[in-house]
Amino acid sequence: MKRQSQHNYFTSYGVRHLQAGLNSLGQLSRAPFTTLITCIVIGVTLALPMALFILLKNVDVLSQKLQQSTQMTLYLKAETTKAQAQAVVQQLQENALIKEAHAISPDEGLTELQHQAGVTNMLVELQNNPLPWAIAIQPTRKAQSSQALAELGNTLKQIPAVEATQLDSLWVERLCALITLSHRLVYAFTFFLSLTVLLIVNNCIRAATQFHQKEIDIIKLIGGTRAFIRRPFLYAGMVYGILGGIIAWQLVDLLLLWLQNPINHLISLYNDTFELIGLNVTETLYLLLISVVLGWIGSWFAVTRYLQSRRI
Amino acid sequence: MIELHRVSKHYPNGYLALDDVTVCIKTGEFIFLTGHSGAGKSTLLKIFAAIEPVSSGDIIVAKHNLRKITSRRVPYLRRQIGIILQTPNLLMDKSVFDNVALPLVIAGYSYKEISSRARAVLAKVSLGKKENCYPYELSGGEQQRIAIARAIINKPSLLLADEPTGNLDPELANEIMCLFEQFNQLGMTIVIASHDLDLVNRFGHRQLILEKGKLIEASVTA
Repeated sequence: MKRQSQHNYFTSYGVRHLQAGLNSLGQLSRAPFTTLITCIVIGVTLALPMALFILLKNVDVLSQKLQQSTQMTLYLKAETTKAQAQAVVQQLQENALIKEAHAISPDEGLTELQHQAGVTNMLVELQNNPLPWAIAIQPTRKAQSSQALAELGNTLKQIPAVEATQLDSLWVERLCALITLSHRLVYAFTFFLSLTVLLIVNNCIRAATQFHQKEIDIIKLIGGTRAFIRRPFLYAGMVYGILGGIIAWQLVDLLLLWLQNPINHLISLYNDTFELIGLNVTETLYLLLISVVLGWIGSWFAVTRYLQSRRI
Repeated sequence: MIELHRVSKHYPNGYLALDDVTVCIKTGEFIFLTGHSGAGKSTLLKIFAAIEPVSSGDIIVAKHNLRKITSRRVPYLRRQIGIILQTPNLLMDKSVFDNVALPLVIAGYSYKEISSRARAVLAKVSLGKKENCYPYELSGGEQQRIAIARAIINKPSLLLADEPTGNLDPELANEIMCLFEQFNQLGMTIVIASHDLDLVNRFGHRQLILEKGKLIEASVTA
């Protein structure tokens, strides 16, 4: 008997929610233009931080790619012979933090230097080749962090044949710091724009409560609870939110589609390829969930404030 | 059903609407609240329905102490009270059936129960054939009957009516008063505010007479 009564309660509760939801959809569909404009405004507001988020996500991937190409160069002592250099290479290849190591002879080094400097015959000026044997090292992924690289550099300096180490990672570190800063800026931007969405929904629902003032007063007069009055407005807020979220998602997808070709062209100039990354399923669901929650909170505040202001 | 002890009501502008009113209305009573316009009849009804708070004094309605009632409990008190105002206060974009069924929808009844009770109550106020009409399609008297049907559908123990026949012709007013008599015979406590002394005297129930916020006489006319 008790179970039956509980079942009836939940059925009735579900039916009331369904009615409130359908009622909200009905109200919004009766003013399609206003609803559409509101959803577009919400969508554009949400699309801005989402676009920045995706931009950072792609920059993150690019910077990881760049970090993976970080190289360390070991300059050996001037008197080092080819055999000694080969022995150091062999020693380095046994190190778990080193993915690849190869020796660069003084001649190879000079050729590269001439190529970089745009000079054809440097030896005429210099008399003899001053460059020592060098070893180019590609660290493993595990050793890519700046701290790990510094530690690796210090370890390699202990090898007797090594004169100096050179790590070309400062610009990568700067890029990482810039990305971290940008992440924070995007979070702040997202917070303020979320607040904007909240205020947009709040404003729309406040207008709706004014429009339904008589209906609300009657419902209060005949025993309607605040929850009952609030319910259809909360659903309306959630509908605004989810439609705004869908619009934001589509706008971001369109933006990616629009940017893919110029980015392909740009990357191809560096003899590389890069596929722009959009929102994945989890991120899309998060976007929609956040939109719904913002719609819900915005409408909750609007209706609560309205109900507190009415005497009935 | 209703107990007032030294109740006064000041509006924020300083106007004294009720002045030291003490009265007791028993369960099943039929009361006429009379007096001139501005005497405090509507204020007293609003206080009974917890629409207006009292400034001082104690008031108990349907076992709820209105001085201590929280805003969360007010809707549950109002479900025990049927309220009819001078203007019917109907939702013009909803059908007669939906208007009448609204208190049951709010209370969470099943559709089956709502449907059967709404049809029964519409038949009682002779609007059974107009359940699919909209209020704006009906006359003033019919609209007032919708408001009455909505007020009684929840089987309230107390019915408050503020000038319910104010906008109706005498024949229709008489018809509606007869309806109230029927509800009273079923055990409902009824309080009607009216300044139409002919109508009040014709039905011969206990009268509470208000003048400038003071309860000056409580009499029974035959």
